[in-house]
Amino acid sequence: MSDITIGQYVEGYSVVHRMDVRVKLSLMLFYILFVFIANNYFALMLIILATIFATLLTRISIFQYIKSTKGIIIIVLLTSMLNLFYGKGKPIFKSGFLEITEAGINNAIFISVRIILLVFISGVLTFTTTPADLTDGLERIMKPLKIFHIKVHDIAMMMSIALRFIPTFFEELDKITNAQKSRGADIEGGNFIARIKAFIPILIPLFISSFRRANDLAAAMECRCYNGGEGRTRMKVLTLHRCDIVAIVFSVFTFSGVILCSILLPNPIM
Amino acid sequence: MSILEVKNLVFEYGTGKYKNRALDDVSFLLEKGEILSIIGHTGSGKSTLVQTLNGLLKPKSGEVLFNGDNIFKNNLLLHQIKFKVGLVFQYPEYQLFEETVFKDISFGPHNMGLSECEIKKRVMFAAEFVGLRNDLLQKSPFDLSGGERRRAAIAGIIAMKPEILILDEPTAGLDPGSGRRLLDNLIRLRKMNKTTIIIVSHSMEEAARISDKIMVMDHSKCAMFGTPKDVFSEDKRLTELSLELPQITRIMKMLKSRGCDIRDDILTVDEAVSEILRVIARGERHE
Ligand SMILES: Nc1ncnc2c1ncn2[C@@H]1O[C@H](COP(=O)(O)OP(=O)(O)OP(=O)(O)O)[C@@H](O)[C@H]1O
Ligand SMILES: [Mg+2]
Repeated sequence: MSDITIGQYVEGYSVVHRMDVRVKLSLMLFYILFVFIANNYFALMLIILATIFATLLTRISIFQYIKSTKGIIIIVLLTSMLNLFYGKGKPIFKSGFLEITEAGINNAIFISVRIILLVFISGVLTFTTTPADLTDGLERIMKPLKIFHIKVHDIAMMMSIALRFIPTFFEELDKITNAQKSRGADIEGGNFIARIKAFIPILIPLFISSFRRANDLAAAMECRCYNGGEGRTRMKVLTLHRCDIVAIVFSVFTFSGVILCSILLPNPIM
Repeated sequence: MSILEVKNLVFEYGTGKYKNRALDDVSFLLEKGEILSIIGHTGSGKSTLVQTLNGLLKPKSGEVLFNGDNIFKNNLLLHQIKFKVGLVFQYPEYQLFEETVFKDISFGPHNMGLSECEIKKRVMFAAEFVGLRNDLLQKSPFDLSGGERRRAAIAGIIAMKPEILILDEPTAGLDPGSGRRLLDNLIRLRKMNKTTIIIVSHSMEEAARISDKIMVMDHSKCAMFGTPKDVFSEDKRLTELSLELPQITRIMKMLKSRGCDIRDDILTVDEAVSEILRVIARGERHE
């Protein structure tokens, strides 16, 4: 099962790959906000252009992005259908209790474009950042939450350990499955109950070895004097580069443009 | 007809960029009742090879013939071959799962659809074979020591009475006594049931002592195949393959190079003892 990849990181050396994770994460948060602030076609167009620009900058094939929308296409269709019939105002089309208004059409377009944009931009983030860097970045960004006594470091540590052990877990699963198959365990066949039962010989050793591994890891970490985030320094020190500054400036312009458009121009959704 | 015939086996892990050829054109023949040792450096493909022999891994090309039938011919055969070619994995102690050792050993026989009475007989036989005390059978497998767990796992395969028994590094991590007893038992099993046995091993001494044939794997290829005498006569080649001669053979070679008139094609301690005694006796006669 070596073909299992964690996250969707695509190796590359583009500007976006090299950007600071913190910047990428914060810009993405703002982006999400502004996708919903944009409430007319000009503002939306501005964001679409910025998104296309960002995806091009990653130098990752556009098909990769399109492929990532595959999973949500049903949701997009469903929500836009619902929105279609929910607009107020003068109906353009009427059949029974269903009526479509101009606002409804606008609603539907907006909601589907917004969802697709979100998928694209999360692609820009996850395609260009390794899961390890992502958790690292999250930890740094969430640091202020410490004042609420949220153990940011511990949560991030747990996340990165979990990520690290997913491939090991699958390797183990593979090994145990093979061992039980060698003893004639029939894993694929049979009805529902039989199949669940067939999983017991695999699940139990898997759980046991996971606990054993967790135990070992905890002991190994303690032996190396790990005691949480207090006073821990970092191996990778992040510094802002020129590309980060440019990205921030560029985003500020785009976001201001979105605000201006949204305030000055009429809102077709209402 | 040979019990096992492997023809031009090729196996690859992964695809595309991550492709890794773990078996490259491996062929060999094994007769019924023979003991084969597979040796070779770490990562040379030994574990991969044995997993293709019972149909767990499907090779990219090539054939595995069991009694003349290609085991990948149909799914029924592929399922049944698991009972005829029993495979004990590297570190098998991690596959135990039942509440008691007894139930765990009977998992394989149970899957074969044997009667309760027959299952019980086989479990008792297998437990006795690997040297598991009777009082351990009702314990949870997780309460056993590492070595006992290993024995329980091996018993789980022995209880299926396979025609070919494959063990992937069965003695790794066992104390020397247990390791030796396990191998002696395997030799006994071969005598009793004419079971064909394949052992993956890192110990030249073990391989030299018990095997009829030795196969040397190197970088996914079968580098050497033959009787222990043939294989261990090529000591230069073995060194190249990051292996070495059994210790006792090295001693005999050293004695010979120091001018002692002694045979140096000796592989086991017993042989060495009689040869050294012979040389000493001859020396005394001369005086
Ligand atoms: N599940 C797997 N996925 C991908 N590659 C694998 C897998 N198992 C083994 N390999 C690779 O195949 C090659 C052969 O591995 P194999 O386990 O057969 O070696 P081995 O001879 O048994 O080594 P050892 O003496 O350490 O047990 C190695 O290069 C290994 O990295
Ligand atoms: Mg191995």
